[in-house]
Amino acid sequence: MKKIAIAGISALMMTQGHAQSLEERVEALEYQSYENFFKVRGSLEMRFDFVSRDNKDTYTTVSDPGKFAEAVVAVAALANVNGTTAQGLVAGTACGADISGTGVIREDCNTVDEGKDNSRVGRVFLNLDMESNPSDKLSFYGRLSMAKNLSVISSTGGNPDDAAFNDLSAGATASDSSIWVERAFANYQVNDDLTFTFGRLPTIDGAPQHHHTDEPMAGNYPILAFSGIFDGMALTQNFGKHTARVVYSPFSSVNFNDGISQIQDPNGDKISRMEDAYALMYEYSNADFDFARKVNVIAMHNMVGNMPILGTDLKLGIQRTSIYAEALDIANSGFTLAVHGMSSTTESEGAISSALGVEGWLTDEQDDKTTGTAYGILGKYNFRNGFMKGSSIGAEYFHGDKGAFLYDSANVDPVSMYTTFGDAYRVFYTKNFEGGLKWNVQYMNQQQDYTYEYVGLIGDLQEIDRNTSFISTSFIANF
Amino acid sequence: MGFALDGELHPKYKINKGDGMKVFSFIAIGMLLSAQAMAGTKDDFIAEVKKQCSKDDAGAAALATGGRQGNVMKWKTCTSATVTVGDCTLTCTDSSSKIGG
Repeated sequence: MKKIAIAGISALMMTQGHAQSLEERVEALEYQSYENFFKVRGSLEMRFDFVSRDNKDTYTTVSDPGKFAEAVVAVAALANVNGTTAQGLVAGTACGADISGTGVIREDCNTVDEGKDNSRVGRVFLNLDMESNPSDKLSFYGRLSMAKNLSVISSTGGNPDDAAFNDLSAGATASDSSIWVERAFANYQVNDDLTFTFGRLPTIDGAPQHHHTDEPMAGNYPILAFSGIFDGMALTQNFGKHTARVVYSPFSSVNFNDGISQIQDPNGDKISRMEDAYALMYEYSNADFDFARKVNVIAMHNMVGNMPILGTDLKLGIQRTSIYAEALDIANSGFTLAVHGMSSTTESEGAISSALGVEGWLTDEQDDKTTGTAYGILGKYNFRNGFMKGSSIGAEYFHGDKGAFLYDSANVDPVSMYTTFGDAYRVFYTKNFEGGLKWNVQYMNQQQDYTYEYVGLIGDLQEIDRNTSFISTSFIANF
Repeated sequence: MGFALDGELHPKYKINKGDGMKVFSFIAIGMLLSAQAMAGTKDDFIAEVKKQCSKDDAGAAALATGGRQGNVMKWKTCTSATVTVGDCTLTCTDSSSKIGG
């Protein structure tokens, strides 16, 4: 008994290292244990991409619809013509050219010429993950993120963190060394099976993206359900291996100068400051099958009401139905298979710029409805023995039809596989080193057959023939 | 002996010669308090091994090796898709990526 007591005292003394009474040391340990409800962890990734693009056809995209109207006004004044004539002069001028010798340059569009391009990109990604469990009922999770290009000296073009929709990818898209709140949500356990959640939700980096870097599922919405950071609230009900969830995550339209007065579109119609969006989720997780170590299924239906774009009379309504399924470690072989698919119905009302002729979401018409599908498959093998132990190797294929609403705002690849109107594939390899270091390398090829003339989702469907491939390599430290 | 379970410690407490049993009780409670936060983790690990690898209580407990490099912490701090402990492969989860935790 005495020996145990002496050993215990010695252990305590070793951890303290200075002259405190036993009583004080025990008290300090007691309070230390109470303080352990808040933890910080994180990951740091340095990534290099080597990109090659072959553009086989010339095509034109819209870069800034507002500049068309500005050019029409400027040309009308300088050429002393009426608006209709000026509009014809601007529309008849090539992108980037002088409009009828007026000195006004056409800046609303961009012509992509045939040819090949190469580039090299280096970036750093930092995630600081916070977790707190102040009580058995309440938990909090947060993530502060930085995504930046290596040592930025100068830049041109629009900063992605200043653009429309930036809030859906803040901290995930490489810009500068700013820290953003990527996720911050609290779970309150109403009872053993019912949980109420609110905050900035973990809705990016979803399945199957986690397989590339051999990590646990890193986001709750599968990529094809919706890949954007959504603020909202949710109710989750567990039924053993089944989980049902409803999420309310409205979109805001903000006038920072006036928070109360009515916001109107160019037609004088009222714009709602907060438009409703919902998601219905069903999850199934079973580790009792013989054919696989674990099976996970996520089925979702996402609904966006009538989301406006300020400064235009364009409104978006979407219904997306998606399913993701994965079977891990099939027949104890180390092989994992994942499949996913999505069907979307996009309702567009109004136009982004009638003057320019660029109309609605996935259409060149006003008040249109478009449908489309997309699907993908991924296979991965985990090595458990030999010199390859701790490694995984895999391949993935994706196909997107024209008309599908494909959205991946938090993509970190040079081109997003999951927004491809065409076909894309990748092969990847990840090595987990002992002690928390990871190395990832991947090759991806994307063949784009179609795009839409403004931001890839608005306006006329453009038939293109563009092939992009890249090799990327990352070092990831988990701490 | 001046120790209350509501967390209050007697400010004048002294260890007397020959008071072995009392000292042991004191140390034991102190160690329990400091280990409180970790006990749940070990229980969670054992439950997960039983669930995912169909082990019985004794088999799961045998895999629950302690220390910073032990199996419990290996599973708790897992950042890969899986972690292998003995003959058992566990799927790692990330509560910060799941609505509802």
